[in-house]
Amino acid sequence: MAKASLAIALWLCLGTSLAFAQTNKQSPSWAQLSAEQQRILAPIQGEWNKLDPVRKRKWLGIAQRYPKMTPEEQERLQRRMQEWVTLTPEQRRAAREKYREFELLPQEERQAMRQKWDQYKEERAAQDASKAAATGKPAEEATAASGPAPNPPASLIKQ
Amino acid sequence: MNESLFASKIKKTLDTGLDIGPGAAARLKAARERALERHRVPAAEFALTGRGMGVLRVGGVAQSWLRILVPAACLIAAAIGLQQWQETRQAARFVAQQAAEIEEVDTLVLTGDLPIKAYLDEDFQSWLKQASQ
Amino acid sequence: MRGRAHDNKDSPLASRNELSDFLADVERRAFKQALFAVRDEHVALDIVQDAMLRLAEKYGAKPVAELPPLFQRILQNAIRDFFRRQKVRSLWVTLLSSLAPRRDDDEADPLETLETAAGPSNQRGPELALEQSQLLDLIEREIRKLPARQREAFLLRYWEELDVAETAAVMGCSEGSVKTHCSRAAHALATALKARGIEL
Repeated sequence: MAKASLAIALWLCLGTSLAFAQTNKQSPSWAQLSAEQQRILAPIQGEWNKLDPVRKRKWLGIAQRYPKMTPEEQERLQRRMQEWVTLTPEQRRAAREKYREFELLPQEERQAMRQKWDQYKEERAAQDASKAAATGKPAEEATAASGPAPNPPASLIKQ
Repeated sequence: MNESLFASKIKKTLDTGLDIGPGAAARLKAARERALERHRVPAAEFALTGRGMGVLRVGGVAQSWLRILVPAACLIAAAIGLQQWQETRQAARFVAQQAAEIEEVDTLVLTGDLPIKAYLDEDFQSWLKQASQ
Repeated sequence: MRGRAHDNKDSPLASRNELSDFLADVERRAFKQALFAVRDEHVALDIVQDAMLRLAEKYGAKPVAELPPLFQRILQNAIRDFFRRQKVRSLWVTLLSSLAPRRDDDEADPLETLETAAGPSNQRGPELALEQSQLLDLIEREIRKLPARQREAFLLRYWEELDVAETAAVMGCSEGSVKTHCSRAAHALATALKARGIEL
């Protein structure tokens, strides 16, 4: 009789453990990643355990694309990875939407986007500098006081 | 002609051409090592042998009803377990699908010309609109 | 010809060392195979790298004996992917395919007949001691000139030493087609060599 209940228990365990194995597969811990994956995703190692299964799966997919990228793309990816994971979900959603908008622009405008950004930054810096000069305050304070729309916090401004 | 004889001579000649030069050989070796890094043996498959069957050798006179009940209970337990497993598989498919949807755009954002904050900077957006007018 | 176990139910899964040994053995031939097809060293290296990665990731746990045909299929797919991405079809092929419908297996491929006919037409006297490297160059050149399917079948069968069934599985065609492709390839090679006075 005891053996029979054992058999039943074993069959139940079978299903549960398969289910558990699947769950583990969905949300691998950092230690479960291959050496190569750990190397590529190193910048986000600290955040890895906080990610939900979807995001983990997405990052593993990106890691799979990594070997085929140009060195420049690889460098950018690793440099921006950490910033990306620390954004709020809304910010990431907004960024994706904005990217898709940009994608719809005609070819010449898209290619010029980087230059436009640099130009914008220059103008902005010049504005801030002149504001600072006018009010006699350091540039950052001046912008913080009069900036119209919220910018990403200074800690995220790299490059 | 004797095809396989001819072909084996061709093979012999082709084998002499495997000295491909140090650069290519080094790159092949690097590729091999990279592939080995990725080598993952998936979790061992659960061997489904007839585990439950051995317990049915129950002695005793009035135990014949067990022979029906125990396998039936095993089947039910297996069915429950299977359903659990299927549900997680469905969840897994859902996860994979969601992840795939954002994988491409995230890759493009992270490897593209523009820094991330360009997409988040609303002043930049309005500046662009002004500039195009 | 290498013996290969077809019933692999009890074969142990490939260990990392076995995978490593297999790749080390096959990588140069794979590189040459890709090179014959794409004629560019960088692309060929990329293709082989790609194939190795795919093998290790997807089939790393297969029994060792299954690795050769699996790898060959991955390699051929990778080569085909390259061509698909390039979308390069020479004008010749486009012209010819507009003349006759191209079907893979048994019907004569117009490009096949054309290329084999256009072998070296100049008659030279028998050349005696041919340098090994010259012979190699010649044979490689002729292999490169073979139509893709003939080359694939020939190299898979006689260089990689897969059997007919495995070759058919890798190429996705019937065993009969494999034999046809092989015999045409062998015939073309022998003819080309003979035209230069070489009898292997």
